[in-house]
Amino acid sequence: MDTSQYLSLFLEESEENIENLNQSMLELEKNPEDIEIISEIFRYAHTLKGMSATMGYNNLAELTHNMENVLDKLRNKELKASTGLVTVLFECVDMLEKMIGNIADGGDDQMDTSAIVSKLANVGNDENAKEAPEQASEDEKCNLELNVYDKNVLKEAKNKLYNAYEITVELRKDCQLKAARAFVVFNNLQQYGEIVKSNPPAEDLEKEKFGHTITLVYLTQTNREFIKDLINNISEIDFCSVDEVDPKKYSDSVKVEAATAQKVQTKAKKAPQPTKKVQTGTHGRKLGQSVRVDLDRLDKFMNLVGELVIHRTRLEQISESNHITELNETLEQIGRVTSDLQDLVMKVRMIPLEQVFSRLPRMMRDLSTELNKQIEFVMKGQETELDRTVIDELGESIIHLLRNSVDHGIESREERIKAGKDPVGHVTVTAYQEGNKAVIKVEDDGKGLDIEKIKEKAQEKGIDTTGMSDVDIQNLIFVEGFSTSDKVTDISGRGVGMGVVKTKVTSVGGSVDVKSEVGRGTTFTIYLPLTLSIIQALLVKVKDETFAISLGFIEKVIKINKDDIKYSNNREVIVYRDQIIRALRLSEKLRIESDNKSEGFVVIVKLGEKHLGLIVDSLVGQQEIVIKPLGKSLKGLKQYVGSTILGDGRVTLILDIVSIISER
Amino acid sequence: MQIIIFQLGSEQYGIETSKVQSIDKIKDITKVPCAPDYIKGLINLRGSIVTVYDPYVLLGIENKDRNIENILIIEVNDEQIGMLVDKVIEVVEIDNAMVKDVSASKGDAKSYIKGTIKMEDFLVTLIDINELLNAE
Repeated sequence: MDTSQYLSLFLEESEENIENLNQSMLELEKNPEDIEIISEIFRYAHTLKGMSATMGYNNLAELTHNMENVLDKLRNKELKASTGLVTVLFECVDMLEKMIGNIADGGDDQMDTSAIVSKLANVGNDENAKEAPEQASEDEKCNLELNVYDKNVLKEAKNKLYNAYEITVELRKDCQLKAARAFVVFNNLQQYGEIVKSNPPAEDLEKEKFGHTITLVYLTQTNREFIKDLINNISEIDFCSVDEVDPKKYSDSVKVEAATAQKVQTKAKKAPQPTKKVQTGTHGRKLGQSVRVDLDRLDKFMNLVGELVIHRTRLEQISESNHITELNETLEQIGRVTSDLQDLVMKVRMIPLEQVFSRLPRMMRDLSTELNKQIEFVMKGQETELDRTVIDELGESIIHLLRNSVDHGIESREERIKAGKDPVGHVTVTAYQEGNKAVIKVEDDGKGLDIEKIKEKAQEKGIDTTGMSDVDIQNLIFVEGFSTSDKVTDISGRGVGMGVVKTKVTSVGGSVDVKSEVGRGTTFTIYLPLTLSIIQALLVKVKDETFAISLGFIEKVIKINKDDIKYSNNREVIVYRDQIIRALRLSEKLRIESDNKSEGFVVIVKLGEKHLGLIVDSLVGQQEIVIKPLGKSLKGLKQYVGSTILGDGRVTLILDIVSIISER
Repeated sequence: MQIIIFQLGSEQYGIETSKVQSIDKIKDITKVPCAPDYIKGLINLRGSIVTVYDPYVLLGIENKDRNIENILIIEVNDEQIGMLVDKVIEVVEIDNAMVKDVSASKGDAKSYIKGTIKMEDFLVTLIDINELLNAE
């Protein structure tokens, strides 16, 4: 089977799996008993195994298989996830990663895995025994085990008039770079002869996996004193002994031989590894499976697609007004392609909220320790996706709201107990999609907003609160420079906070409001547009002017007569689904002189719980529009989110329903 | 320096050509309700939306009896804006020395007036467009 076409997919997924493995194993280290994490790791390893086997990377598959065996034992509780075991697993994952790296570089998965495999195999058997012998070998001065091969070498050397010495070198206890010292010892000795054997083995020396004693078997034509001097000249050497090798000491012992034979074997196999390592090291970075794109380019891309949409609509209009039927099919095709293109560019720009959310738990933990308030923090819906720009602007606001909740909302433990509440405070962040908006809620079960305090503050600031509803008063906290905190703390209370949040959110076309109940808690709700630039809109007419309203906010459009508009409290209202909702004449809102008081349409718009009926003269139709921002001089106008160019080339304003609803 | 001279009511004004991107014929202007009165509305300039200013209001010219023919597209603070003018008269090269400072003689110094230029048959008021728009 030709698998090359799947290679990039395989690499991508493998890397993901490796990443997941690493993460889960970190978890495992923290919770060694957690069977779920073990199963998770098992799953990742299993996927990796399956994939690599399919791709024909048997080495990779085999190593994963060995890893699976250990995991299986863990799962069946035959083994315990000790630090040692997890370390071996990590090593194993590193090896896997290297193999995948090699494959990505155009190589294969050929790597020597025997060492790690044997480690994996042994990890269960001598998990406890493992550390003991190591300890022992450090303490014991010598006891070199020589196998048949070594002894043959010794014999041969004797024949060739070489002297064989057993050298014991003891490094100083405070020696800093043991590996380096060992290396110097080796290096010096090798200038005058050959080291046949060393205990601990050279590899361990390199990795500094030894105590302070090194025992060597050395063949040389020089004499004992010379060697002694040679070694003693090296600094940080505590003690050194050089003895003639007594061949009898290394009496044949089947057991020892068997054991060492195995060791040598693994050693021989290991040998090629370092060179391979160097190779991989010098290779360039692996193939990219994703491309980083400048956000500006994406913006440009989006604008171009927007332009395309405008011209498509225009073409449709021309074809319609001129009754050119031949164009229909092509237009339909163009329509399909442009909407696909639009979806695509939108998706490219969308990223999950996770990016903002991921840093929250840590922050909350720190906050709760800092303020000495016990808090249970819950996040929901971090998979909700939003436009990149929106997310960038959003992070700070969410953090601010959370800080605010912890600092001002949640009471101290004593207060909570006194109020008969759960001593642990609850703070929840929830994100979800509603229509073409994303909603983010920050809730706490703290003491809520103190209306009286806000009123007082408002008076200080010269804001008249008479006749304002409680909700309106609560929303005063979003006025710049408004803070009800008595003292300024590190966390919040500089009086700029909520105003900044509001500005930030509004700048990306969203809105924020607050709902609070004294003693029960506070909920901040942020509404955000999912995408920034292309929306479905309803075009309405007031007198001669056309305006666009985003379909996302529209619940219903009703034709009305004069009699349908009732009066309550000297305000115009309409009855909609047994509910009395405020009716607002768009002409009045926008100060357009209009004599049409008799009939028209009412567009029912909805934001969260709030409804509003917008009275317009007539409807033009539904259309896809591209939002273009207004120029600097018009930015201050809260009635509009932007403008757009319609199919016929005319410019139309887009109403900002969010601000119209929340303002009134 | 090179300047564009245009007619506003009965007077002639000028701005530096380096600021002007194009001269366009008047087209459909979409009104922006609630906008300040010196903003005439929005136009579609080859696919981008441009805010159009009314210099009559900005300069306080009373004569409302006018016949608008052109829009000057000017770049101000990295933004394209449009300015309604009755008619573009000509583009001329002038010597910097020809610009006479008027603020001292008139008494009330208007920061957006750079000076006046005496042409053969008429007087041109040179406008600093950045100052004019910042003043609002």
